[in-house]
Amino acid sequence: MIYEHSWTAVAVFGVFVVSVLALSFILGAKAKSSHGYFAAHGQIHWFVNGIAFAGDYLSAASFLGICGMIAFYGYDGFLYSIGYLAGWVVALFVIAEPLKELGRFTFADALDKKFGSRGIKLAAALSTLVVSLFYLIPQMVGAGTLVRPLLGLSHQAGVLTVGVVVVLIVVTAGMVSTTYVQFIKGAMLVVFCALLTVMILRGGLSLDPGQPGVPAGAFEEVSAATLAEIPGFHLLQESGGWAGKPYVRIGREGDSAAVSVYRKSDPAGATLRLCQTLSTLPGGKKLANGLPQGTGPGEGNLWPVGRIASLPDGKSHTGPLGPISFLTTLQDSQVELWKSEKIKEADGSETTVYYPSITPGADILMPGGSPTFKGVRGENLTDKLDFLSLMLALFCGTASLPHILIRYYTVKDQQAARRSTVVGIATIGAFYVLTLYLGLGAMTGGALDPTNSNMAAPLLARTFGEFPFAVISAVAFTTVLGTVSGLILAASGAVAHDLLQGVFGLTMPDRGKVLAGKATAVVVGLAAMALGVVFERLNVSFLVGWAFNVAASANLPSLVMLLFWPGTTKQGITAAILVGMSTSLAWILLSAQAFVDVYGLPPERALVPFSQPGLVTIPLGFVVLVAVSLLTRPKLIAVNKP
Amino acid sequence: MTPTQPAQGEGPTIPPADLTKVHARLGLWLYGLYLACYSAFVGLSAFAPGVMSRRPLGGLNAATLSGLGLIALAFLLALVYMALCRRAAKKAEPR
Repeated sequence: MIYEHSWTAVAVFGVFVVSVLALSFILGAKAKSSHGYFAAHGQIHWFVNGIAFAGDYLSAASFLGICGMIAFYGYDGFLYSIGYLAGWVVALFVIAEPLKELGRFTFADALDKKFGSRGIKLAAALSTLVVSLFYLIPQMVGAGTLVRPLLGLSHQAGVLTVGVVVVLIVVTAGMVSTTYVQFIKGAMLVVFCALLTVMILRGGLSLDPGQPGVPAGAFEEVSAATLAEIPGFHLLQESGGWAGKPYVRIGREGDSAAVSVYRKSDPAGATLRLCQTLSTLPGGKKLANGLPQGTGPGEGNLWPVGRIASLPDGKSHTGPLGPISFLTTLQDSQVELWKSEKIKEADGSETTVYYPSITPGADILMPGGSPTFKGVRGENLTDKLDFLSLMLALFCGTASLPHILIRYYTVKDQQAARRSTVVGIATIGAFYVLTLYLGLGAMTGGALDPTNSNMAAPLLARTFGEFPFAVISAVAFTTVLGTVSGLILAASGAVAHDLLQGVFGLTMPDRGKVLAGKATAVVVGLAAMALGVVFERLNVSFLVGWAFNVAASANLPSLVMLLFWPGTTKQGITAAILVGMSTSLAWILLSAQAFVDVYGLPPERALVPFSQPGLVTIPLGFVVLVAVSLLTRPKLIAVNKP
Repeated sequence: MTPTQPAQGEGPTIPPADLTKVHARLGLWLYGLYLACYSAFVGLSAFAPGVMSRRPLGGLNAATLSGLGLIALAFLLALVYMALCRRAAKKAEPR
């Protein structure tokens, strides 16, 4: 789809960025010491910190990705929400307080407090860097995909804008300003999502959401006979990649490119539904629905999709609904979901067909609708293991994310750490319930872009007017800004504090440490911008799942065992981090998902049975830790039992 | 373990150093409870989709109900944990 960029969105975004930067400069004046830079002097109020947790956690992937996944596939996006939130239970009940007691600046500090080992510092700093970078890539890619439609910039320009603003924020004030950016963003995100949800519920569900640009008759089924008789058109042969596919194509007389595609609703093809197509011709020219792509006269653009195909009791609209009746009504309706299929033709041109698929609402509110989770509905055990593995990684990953862990050092004491986690859980939980409504609202609101699920939430907001659209876009931007600055800070702490000082024994005055941190922030920021441009085509949720798997495999075993098993040795911790990190990385690189999405190879050639490593590599981390700890047990323990 | 603040008055008091341990034990219990619910949810989703598509209360299906339930449960347990920690801290306060 082609979007016309909105000046309101540009203005609101500008105001946002300028106020956030101003706040950074003002607060930056306060943070002179390293404790101030990396841990906000430990003086952030627990409530602010709690909302900032939500701000840190609700990344672009949470907000845009989950909304989009629910809008395209239904319940499966909600599965991510459930897993992400469950991870907070681990953080609150198991990790939060002991960690607060142990550390001062970074995750490596906490692990290393008991041992003072350079090996641990090195391993922990490495895993922080790796996880932060992998978590940064989807954020930057998300930023790039967002700006194109919202501000009319190119992908690269979007990535650069976000990168520069974030580095400015981090360099000017460190953890204090990052915390307040996250606080503002977290609060705005929840408030505006709540407002949107109220608007969705008040609008109810309707067979015709009344979005502009939809051609007449797009919602109706046509019979094969009428199709053959449209004046000025003729049926095309099923040649090349179209052979054997359930499509019927009609072309306009005298124009070989102007083709409309219909999909057979049943194998016999008695009735058909109009599809949308995006084609790339051998010369690189693009066609949308058989016309040159563009928004001018004589040009074609995809129309927005997603609506209810039939409501219970034959109604055409429901009027205002309650939060429960919205879900139960949807469950008893039929929904028009849009799927896609790529077809290669003999002359080298490639066409993506977007076709409506009428799906019962009861199916939409069940797991297994999306490609990621489809194994749940099958009989194949390894597909089910893949699902279990991802759910395990989400559960264990949260408490192992370095940018979440460092937020425990910004509050005064354990009680404040506990309180802020509870505020965080409440905010994040409420947000995830809201995203269910936003996603389902986008699914049925008639404004979806069939080519890009990430745009579901902003496009939904647009159906309620230009201002909600501008605000949601600005919030989405700050989402990226906030998460990226938190990650860059975590990475710069790892380098300046753990690597330079801890491992290489560089003694620095306090100011020097802050400078080193800021220099690292610039370097990491540049690296993130470069990666964001390079990985433009990669699926965002794939990368987030990757980061969670690596974080959980590398960090969780050592964190948990250090806190609960007195026999843990420094060699055990170092080995567990390195093994967990490298095996989970290797597993992902050898998985079917990576073969398809990264290398473009057939998935059958993958070397591991399922794509998510967590189920294997998290337990492996524990095994390695225990084994190495037992082998390196201190030889002389004077135990005198009475 | 030496209490940092000597207990005064009657009744059992918990020294602050042990308070962390009390919290940790509480936390592990609540964590275990949540883990059981989460595992049941994931297990049923993977191996018994038939159960998840039932509508136990007549309206919403079990999948949606249990998903929303897990989110609510996380918040409830967090509140319970706070309350229990506060009670433990009160006990520990020297009178």
